[in-house]
Amino acid sequence: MKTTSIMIVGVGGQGTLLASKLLGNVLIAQGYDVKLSEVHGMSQRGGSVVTYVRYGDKVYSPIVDQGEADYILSFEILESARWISYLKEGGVLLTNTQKTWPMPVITGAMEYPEGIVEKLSAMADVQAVDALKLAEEAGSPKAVNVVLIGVLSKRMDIPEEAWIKAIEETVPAKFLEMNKKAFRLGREA
Amino acid sequence: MKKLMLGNQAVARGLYEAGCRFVSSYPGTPSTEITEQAALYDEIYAEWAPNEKVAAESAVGASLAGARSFCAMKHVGFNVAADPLFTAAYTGVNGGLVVCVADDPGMHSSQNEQDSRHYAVAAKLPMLEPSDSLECRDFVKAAYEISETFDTPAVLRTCTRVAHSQCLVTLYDREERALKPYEKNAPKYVAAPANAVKRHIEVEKRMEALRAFAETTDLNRVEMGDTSIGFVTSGTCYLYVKEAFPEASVLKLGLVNPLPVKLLQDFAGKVERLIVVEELDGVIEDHMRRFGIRVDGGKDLFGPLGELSQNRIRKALGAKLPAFTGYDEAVPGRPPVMCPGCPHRGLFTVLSKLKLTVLGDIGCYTLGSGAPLNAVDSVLCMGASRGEPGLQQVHRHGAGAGQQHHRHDRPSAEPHHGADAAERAHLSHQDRGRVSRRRDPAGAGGGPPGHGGHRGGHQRGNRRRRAQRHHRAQALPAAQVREGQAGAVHRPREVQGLPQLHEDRLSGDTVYRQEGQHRPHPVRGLRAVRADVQVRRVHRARG
Ligand code: SF4
Repeated sequence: MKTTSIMIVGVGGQGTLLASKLLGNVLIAQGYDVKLSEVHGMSQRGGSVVTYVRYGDKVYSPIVDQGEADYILSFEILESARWISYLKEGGVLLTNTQKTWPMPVITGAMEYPEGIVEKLSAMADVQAVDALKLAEEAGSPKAVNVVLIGVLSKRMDIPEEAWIKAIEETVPAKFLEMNKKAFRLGREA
Repeated sequence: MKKLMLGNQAVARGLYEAGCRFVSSYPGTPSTEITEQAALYDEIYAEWAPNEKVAAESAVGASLAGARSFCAMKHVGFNVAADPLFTAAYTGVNGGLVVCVADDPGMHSSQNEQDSRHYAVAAKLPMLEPSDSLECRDFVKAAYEISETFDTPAVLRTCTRVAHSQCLVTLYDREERALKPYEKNAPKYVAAPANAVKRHIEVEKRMEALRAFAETTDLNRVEMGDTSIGFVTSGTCYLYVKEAFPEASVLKLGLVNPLPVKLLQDFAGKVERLIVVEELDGVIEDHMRRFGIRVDGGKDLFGPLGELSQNRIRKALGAKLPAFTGYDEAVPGRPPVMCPGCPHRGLFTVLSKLKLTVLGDIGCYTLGSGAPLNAVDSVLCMGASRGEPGLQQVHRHGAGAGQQHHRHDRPSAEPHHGADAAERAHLSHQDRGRVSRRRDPAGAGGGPPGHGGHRGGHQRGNRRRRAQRHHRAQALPAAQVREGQAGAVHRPREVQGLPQLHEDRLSGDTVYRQEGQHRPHPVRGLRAVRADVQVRRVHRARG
């Protein structure tokens, strides 16, 4: 099987790392060779963060380059615009519509661009979801990551039970029901 | 059992499986998780040292005591650890000693992108370079074998992509190793000139033996494929090459110092076009050229800057790039910012308002230089906010000979250094302009602070100084504010000179206090291995 590339992008602190861990666990359980890559350090402090997940029979490079991503799972709409060049032709962008102002917008040096979803939709196959709303509906705004994993799961050829099992293995027991609900809401979105 | 593991986690796993007992490190991205993970194994004593030099010395001590020992640092940390490690190459080891250095091509969280391979060459140490987590684990084990077989510290070089990528690693059991008996052996371990002269001969013999080893070891591997193009590469670049040119022939080097000659010659003879792919400097390429081995492309194609990737390799070789479309409007950047509630935010806000000259330090404090704080004027390296005496010397007195600036020494952490420098610098930006004008050898203008001789002593300057004194009184412990009472008065190190340094060394505990170092002695490692105590300390990380 050819290597599939997924990028998870967002803002430091949004829980992208848990999302990539969950995804990694699902893929391993399916018997794939998996590589994950993320950059720690300064990016944790509210900066733009990106994680690469690649799987297939044999994966070499741990990173995804421009024009290579089959899927981009984006936690913030501005980040979708930032990373769209990494999507391959025919790739799918799954994006949260949440907005988090970056420092240049807070200080007034730049405007937060308008109409990003519309523009991106004209460029690629885009599914935009208000993941924050769905997460709150599930019981916690922190579950945005699991909602988005739910959205991604719908597009991938992996049985639902495998995802649920990975959630059970990854999240603490006391948040399990809430996370399962978040996953379902994302999957149905 | 197979597990998805971070490169750093896999290095720790390698330590565990190889029977390592002692780890002393100084944290720094991207090396930090190695020691954090090693500390989770009960069989391994793991500690944070005050800095890389002490960490390396402690690890040498544990090796002397007969244990397999280890030490990790980021690339700039090797600059600090270089002193003991260059000579440890002479003394050799008792228990195996592995030092891991994590480079940061692309500078994800570092102040430079120096290439650590030069250190291995300069210090005459064997260096291994894994390309993924699985190799991290395997190469740690191989490094211990090399260390003990050739009686030398061995260096493991990783980079950000290897350290912070995950792949599947098969887990094995730990191989427990008895401590090697400790024997007093002054000619080997006392690096006095008469001994070192003889040890140097051993170093050169060892390198000769390692060069022969490099020709045959399976750390270096040839994968023959399409012979119209062949790549010589190592580390993470190997993965990019395989991604971009899966059919091509590859010579993958796992031992990057010393490099083989015949193996490279043979490979070059089998392929039509030979390309060397390495990040940062052309270490492999230079080696090949020195031995007259044909190189058809290398640094001329890839340059010495930043990280490589599959696309950079495709592009340099004129291969087809995947198509993509970018967003056609300017996207505001999202630089990292200080955590909400970070105490430095307030400090930098005040410093910025006062328009003080601030010599900052590395780590989060670099964020004090960005908008909207814009407080920091300079960041050089860990502890370099200590450049303050130099700045003041020139600003206040000119750089005239015979001038000595006395100051208090504080063994506290860098944020305070930064604050200290800023609080003490009483020069506004206008003042700075003036200083450059009076940079004459006579050192005209400006007496010592508080003597009214400084030209900034007009109204605004005074106000500034009051504010800054006020702020300082709040920020620092009272004992340090009362001048003349906190510790000994030190001169800047440049002025201090050798005798002073020597004296400090003999006194044991107080060497280089301005760098926060203590006990520059392998005794700690030795003691820890023998007493088998468990201590885990947490220190601030570099970057
Ligand atoms: S020093 Fe760094 S990690 Fe600590 S609160 Fe400030 S920004 Fe955050």
